Amino acid sequence: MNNSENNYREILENSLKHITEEMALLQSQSNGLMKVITQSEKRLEKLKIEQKHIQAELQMRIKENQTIEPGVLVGTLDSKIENILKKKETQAEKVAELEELKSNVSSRLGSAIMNRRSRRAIKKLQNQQCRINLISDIQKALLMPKYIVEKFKLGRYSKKAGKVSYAQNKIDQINQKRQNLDPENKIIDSIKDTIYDIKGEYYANKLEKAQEKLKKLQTKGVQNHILGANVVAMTKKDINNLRKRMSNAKKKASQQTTTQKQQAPKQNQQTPIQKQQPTTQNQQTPIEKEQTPIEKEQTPIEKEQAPIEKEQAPSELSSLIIPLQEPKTNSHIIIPGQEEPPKESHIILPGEESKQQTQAIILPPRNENITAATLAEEAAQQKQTKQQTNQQQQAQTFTKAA
Amino acid sequence: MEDNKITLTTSDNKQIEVEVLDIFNVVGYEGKDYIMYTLGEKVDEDNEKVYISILNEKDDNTFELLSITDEKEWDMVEKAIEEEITYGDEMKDE
Repeated sequence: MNNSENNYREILENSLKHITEEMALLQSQSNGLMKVITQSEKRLEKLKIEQKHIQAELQMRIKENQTIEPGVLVGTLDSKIENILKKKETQAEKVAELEELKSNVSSRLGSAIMNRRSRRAIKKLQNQQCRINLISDIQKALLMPKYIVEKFKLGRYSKKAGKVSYAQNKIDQINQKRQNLDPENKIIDSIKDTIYDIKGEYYANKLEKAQEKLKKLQTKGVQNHILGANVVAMTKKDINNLRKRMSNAKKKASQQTTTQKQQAPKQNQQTPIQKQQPTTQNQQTPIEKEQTPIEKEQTPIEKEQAPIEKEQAPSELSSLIIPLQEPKTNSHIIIPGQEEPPKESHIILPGEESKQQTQAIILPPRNENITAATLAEEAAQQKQTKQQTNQQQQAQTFTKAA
Repeated sequence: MEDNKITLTTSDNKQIEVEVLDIFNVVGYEGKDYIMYTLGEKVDEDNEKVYISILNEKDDNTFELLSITDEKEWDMVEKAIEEEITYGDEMKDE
């Protein structure tokens, strides 16, 4: 190795040594200063608490006109001072009288006598004041132990409380610094917040629209015709949640009725949009008509039933209510005893095969001469067929599981 | 009418009172409204029957409730209902 390299390395090492020593010195100085700062901050917190307490006590004493409970000695001194104050009052009146008389006297002898008398009275007054001051000082000295004890207790409490307060402030500062130095989490949190806000607004709008529709359905004079329905089984918990949501939305809507008058022009703008909805629904009816050929290919019976369904409107719902009739497997209903649905599925679906079948509840073609007896017979027949299909499906599912 | 209840009329002019649980839209079928309602009928201890129909507004004073016959449409309706329920659970947790 070159000598120049050695020298250069020596220079670097010396520089490193100096820097390390200076760093150690500065570190110890900074530690010392930090100690001073922390001690003074703690002291500051302690004094703040003490100040609060003493202010509160003073204000309380003034507000409630509290008096200290005097001991025997302090009590006697209180009564002495009261007597002296009475005497002081009378003496002050005397001095005032003498001053008045002095002004009325004209002769030299008379004024000299008056002067001497007023000087004596004033001196007496001053002596009385001195006695009051002396007795007050004695009282303070006697009360001081009580005050010192109270202050000591308060000091001990406020020292601890000050330390706690100081530590809490430090924690808050560090948390704030950590948050400021953690931009990724900040961004993620802000994104999450916006997503939740958007979600909330979206669902709030949905509920609002649902409430508007419900109001329409509930208005007097509106006819609601039931022509068909699909059935599912839902847990009571989910039903209650949906119920609560609707009732909460209704409450919000009723609160907004007071401001609706102000928003009336906006509502008028909304009605054309609502009126457009029936037109879109009408546009969709051709789509439905297009689907009927597909249904024709699948089951010819369905096509025949499509127009009949409308006539059968009352019986569809009423047939579901008939206690004799068990729910079909091709509708989405749990039959007790069937295998459990997949995890976290609130809508309990039958097996996959059942999806291929129609999901609407479709009744057989209606005869003209229908009586209660024929309906019961139909129901019994359907029950038998359903039981058979149930058994078949269960057998298939068991084989699948195997 | 209170408590989200409405009266439905059957074709033989019978009146049935039902409780509306939700009125919602489905992705891909935005022009249609769907109504979910219940009569309070139990399936077993933990489950009850819930009915779902297409809500068709004929005119200002008449509504029709129709069944869903299309499979794809029914799948989408099921998904929409699951979303409604999961969001309800989320809000409850919050």
